[in-house]
Amino acid sequence: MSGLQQLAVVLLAGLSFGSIYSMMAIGFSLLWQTSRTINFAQGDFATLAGFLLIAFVVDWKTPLVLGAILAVVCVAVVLGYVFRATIIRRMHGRGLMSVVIATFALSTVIENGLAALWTPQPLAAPSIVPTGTWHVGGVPVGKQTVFDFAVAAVMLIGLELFLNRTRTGLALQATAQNAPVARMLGLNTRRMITYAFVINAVLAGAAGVLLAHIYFAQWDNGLQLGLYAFYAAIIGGLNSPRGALVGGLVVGLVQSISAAYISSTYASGILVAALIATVLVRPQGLLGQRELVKEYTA
Amino acid sequence: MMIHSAHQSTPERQVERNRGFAAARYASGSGRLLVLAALLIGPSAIGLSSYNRYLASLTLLYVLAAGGLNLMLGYAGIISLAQGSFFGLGSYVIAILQVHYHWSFWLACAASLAIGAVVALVAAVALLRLKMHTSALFTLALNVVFALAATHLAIGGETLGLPGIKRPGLFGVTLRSDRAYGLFIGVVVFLGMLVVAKMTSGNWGRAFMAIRENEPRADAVGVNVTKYKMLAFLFGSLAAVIAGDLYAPLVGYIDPTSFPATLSISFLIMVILGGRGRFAGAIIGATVVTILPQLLQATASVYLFLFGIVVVLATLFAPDGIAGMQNVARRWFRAARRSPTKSSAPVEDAVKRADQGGPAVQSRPAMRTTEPSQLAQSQPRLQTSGLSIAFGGLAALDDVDINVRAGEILGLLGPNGSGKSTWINCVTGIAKPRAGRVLHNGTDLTGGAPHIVWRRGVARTFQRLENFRHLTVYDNLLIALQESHGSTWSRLLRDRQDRWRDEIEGVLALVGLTDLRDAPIGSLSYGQQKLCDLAMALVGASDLIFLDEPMAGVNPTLIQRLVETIRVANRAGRTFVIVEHNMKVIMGLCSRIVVLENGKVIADGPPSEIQSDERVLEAYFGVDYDGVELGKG
Amino acid sequence: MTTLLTVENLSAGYERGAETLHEVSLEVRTGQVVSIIGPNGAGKSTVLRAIFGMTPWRTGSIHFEGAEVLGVRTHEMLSRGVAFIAQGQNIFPELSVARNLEIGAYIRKDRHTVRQDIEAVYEKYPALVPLRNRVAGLLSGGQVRMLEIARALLVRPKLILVDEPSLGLSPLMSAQVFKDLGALKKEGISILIVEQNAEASLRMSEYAYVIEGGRNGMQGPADRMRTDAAVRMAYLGA
Repeated sequence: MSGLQQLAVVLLAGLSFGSIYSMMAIGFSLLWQTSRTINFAQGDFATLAGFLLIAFVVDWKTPLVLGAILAVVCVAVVLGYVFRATIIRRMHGRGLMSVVIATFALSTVIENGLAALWTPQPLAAPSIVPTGTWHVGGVPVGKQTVFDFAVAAVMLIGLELFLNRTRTGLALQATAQNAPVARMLGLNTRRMITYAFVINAVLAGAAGVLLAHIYFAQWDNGLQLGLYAFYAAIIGGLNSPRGALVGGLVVGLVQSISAAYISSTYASGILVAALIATVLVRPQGLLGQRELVKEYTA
Repeated sequence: MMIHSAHQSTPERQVERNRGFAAARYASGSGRLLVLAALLIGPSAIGLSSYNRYLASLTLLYVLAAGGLNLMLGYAGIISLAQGSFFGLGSYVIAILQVHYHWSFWLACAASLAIGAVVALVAAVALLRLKMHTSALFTLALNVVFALAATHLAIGGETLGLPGIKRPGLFGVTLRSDRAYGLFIGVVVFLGMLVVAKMTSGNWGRAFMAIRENEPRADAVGVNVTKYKMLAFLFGSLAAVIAGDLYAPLVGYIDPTSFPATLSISFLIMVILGGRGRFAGAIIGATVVTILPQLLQATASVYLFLFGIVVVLATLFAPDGIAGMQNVARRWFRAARRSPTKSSAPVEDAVKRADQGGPAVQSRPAMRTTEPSQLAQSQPRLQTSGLSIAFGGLAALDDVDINVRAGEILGLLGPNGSGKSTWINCVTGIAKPRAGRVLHNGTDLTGGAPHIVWRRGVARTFQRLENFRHLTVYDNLLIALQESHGSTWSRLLRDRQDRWRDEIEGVLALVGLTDLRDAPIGSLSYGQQKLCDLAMALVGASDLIFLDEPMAGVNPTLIQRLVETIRVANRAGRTFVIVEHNMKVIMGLCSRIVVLENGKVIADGPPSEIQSDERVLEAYFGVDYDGVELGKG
Repeated sequence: MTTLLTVENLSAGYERGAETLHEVSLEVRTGQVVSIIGPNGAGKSTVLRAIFGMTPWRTGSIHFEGAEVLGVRTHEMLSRGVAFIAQGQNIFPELSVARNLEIGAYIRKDRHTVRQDIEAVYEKYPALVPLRNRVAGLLSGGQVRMLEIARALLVRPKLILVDEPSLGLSPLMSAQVFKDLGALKKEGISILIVEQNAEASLRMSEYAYVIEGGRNGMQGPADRMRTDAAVRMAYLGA
């Protein structure tokens, strides 16, 4: 395989992973914009979905696709809706530190809960697409790679359609951009925040289901995944959904390229360096905007 | 910019909460020493099994690391999830330098502190650019760096781990035995916690509390917020490094699995559960989190799972942790007994009395007077020339020249959006002008940070109430005073509160709030809090004071008080610039008025002139648009 | 002309113990423009916010179309036909002008008629047509205000509360804004306007109230108020 062909493989893998990271980063960014929540447990949402997939399909013999959907739904309900309704709601007005600690504690609970109550061993998840590769112009293209990319792309497009073509999606955007004005126009911003939590859980859960067959499902995957979502969101721009998209792809590509040409362990190091560079040089991220002192009152 | 959430609580709760606060804050010096001394001898006590002795030593090391984290988190408001990595850093440096390069323990220790300090400072620079929540995740990312560095460096040798770490020697005797080394650990931790105690009480403690309560206000009264936060992060991380230094010889062998990510998480749990922002918090938390699982004989995952749940519940129901339980318990107890709190009654009465005017305003001799020097007489107190600034394309200030004469009371008027507050913000360093200069007594202040401007003698109040709500009136004034004296380090080492007592009492008497000096400022009425704002500006040696709408929303009696106080202070030599909409008061109080419109000065003269100035009237009453040519819109 | 809005003895505020309004009373009739003028910091904006349900607490009574609405929240005031154009820029900066308009009609359930209303609004303010797809954050001050007025019309209001529309605008833009607001009167929409520029505001009003120190001051037909020297002097504390 020529150097160019190898590059193609690496780039494809990078885009495929990247699109999954984008999903997690967009949810992360959405939570931030609508309710100033930084979700420490983002990666764990994905891990939990992976474990649930295994439970449904392997332990309870559910058909694969149904099991995947059920896994995502469970995560959406418990970590999206219930978490928001019980805990986040009470954090209102208690200060940012309390929210940080709450999501952080949630992360600990999920990770150690999985390890203690399920298993600390890595589990293999069944793959949704039969393994194999196509060959396109001499370049081996993994079927799984394409499938992951396709699913992620579909979900991202779906999100875009929801946000821009539906009334609720528009309301969600409005809440994210200027909540006081949104309230003045009669929007129920509390409900919008709940939607944001549920959407985030769906995105993270779906990402987890897709990733489950690539990485073994293990209780402490969440830490690394969450960090990648964080890098993606910061590098791309925390207050820009497009930025989160771009950021995710960047993270995926960097990971893929450094794994192929340098070393997979150093991929994290390079990403941290990119993170530090972003923070020092352009804290608002590639596509984000400086959070100005808002001119609008009300 | 000045956003402050309103805490709605009754005066009773405020008083009692303050008491809890006070109890923690001023926990008697001897009390703390006793507790610490008890810890000191823990690991060297007689009759402990070797494992328990190890556990006691380990607990002490965690106490130190948690104490450092508490300093950062509970006092300075920085969440660090890299405390475990700094701990690991200490151990690794000791291990590598000893095993591979045969350095002595003490040299290796010094090296670890140097390396730790560099890393902490670099990280702090990045951290302070991010807001709190993102900075916390950033520290998680730091863990990744540490882990990489650890695997990279340690795998230098054939084995993955570093065995054979020796215990240090002291005065020629190697502290080989567990008891001896345990005692050594006890001593070091004792000293370390003493340092932490020193940093969290006295002047530094107050500064941290101010930062926690209201960061922008702290900045505006002279607290160098960035510096304090960096110091907290630096010392907090170094505490973990020292603990790590002592850990390596304790266990004798380390490898990359010795410092998992869960260590940082454990430290955070210790601080949250124990009680952040309270001295005992780190001690209680570390002890509980280290010892409890041993009693339960559970694996790490199980107890972390349980602790995680407890932390979530704690954030909902007991945000002050175990150390704060005394408040929670007291509240429940009181509610159960349903008896009105006797202790708060005097405060309420005092509040009501003071609200009705309080004792007559007198000028106390202790009140600082500014002697106009020869130099000061010949030049204006303040000169702003060519000051310009724009927000989003709209010129908020357009080439503004305003001089303030020494000893005058200048009124600054103008319709909404004319630039009055913006001008004050530019002078006091909250906004940076695009062009122009600000000279205070001839010294260039342009673009200086708010805390520097305060220290140079320019004070201000804000339109909205901005104070340190949960601290007492006295402490609010103390904070406004302390940062203008001495250097950061001299303030740590010496607490000269008594020197300033007279001055603070003088100002309190001037504004008539002497009786309320120990009440939490949030329990005072709105008007009284405004008086406190004025008091904060008066305390100290400021010779120029900006008051931004000091009378808005204040009842007429207290307005009189405000006016009298300003007059007295002015007679003693202070210069005032007042922005107000209460026209009658302004016209009576000020000797000169400057009027702004659309960022430009349109009038400058005595009140009588201004009141009959057509341009001013037009600016306020408006113009007719009928005559304006309408284009295509 | 029937009475549309009656406010009686309204006291309201943001912070406990710091009432901004003390027993303010006023009245607006259908198809009438009423100005609230007075010195700055006197609580004028708070009157509008209190009526619209945006102050944390209030006592007294507010009747809209005969029904008591003191306890009514913002979104229901919108449904009843009251729109609010607040001080400063109140748009969604990253949404297009078209989307900003769309969201203005959020509370309405009749999607089809909303589309028609949006078209009508474009006809009324043709300057917005070329800006349909422009991101609102890039509009000039005057264009923003026009967008806000257009948006307010999408709830089919009977009463529009306007807070300091000329703030931050050049005289030219302000003139256009006042012209646009005045034109609404012809369609039977009442306007209650708080404005710093008392002169311009009084010219387009029928009636005016002075609010000083959070209380009712003088009141009367707008023309008389505009030429009354006592009113002018009050502005400067004389």
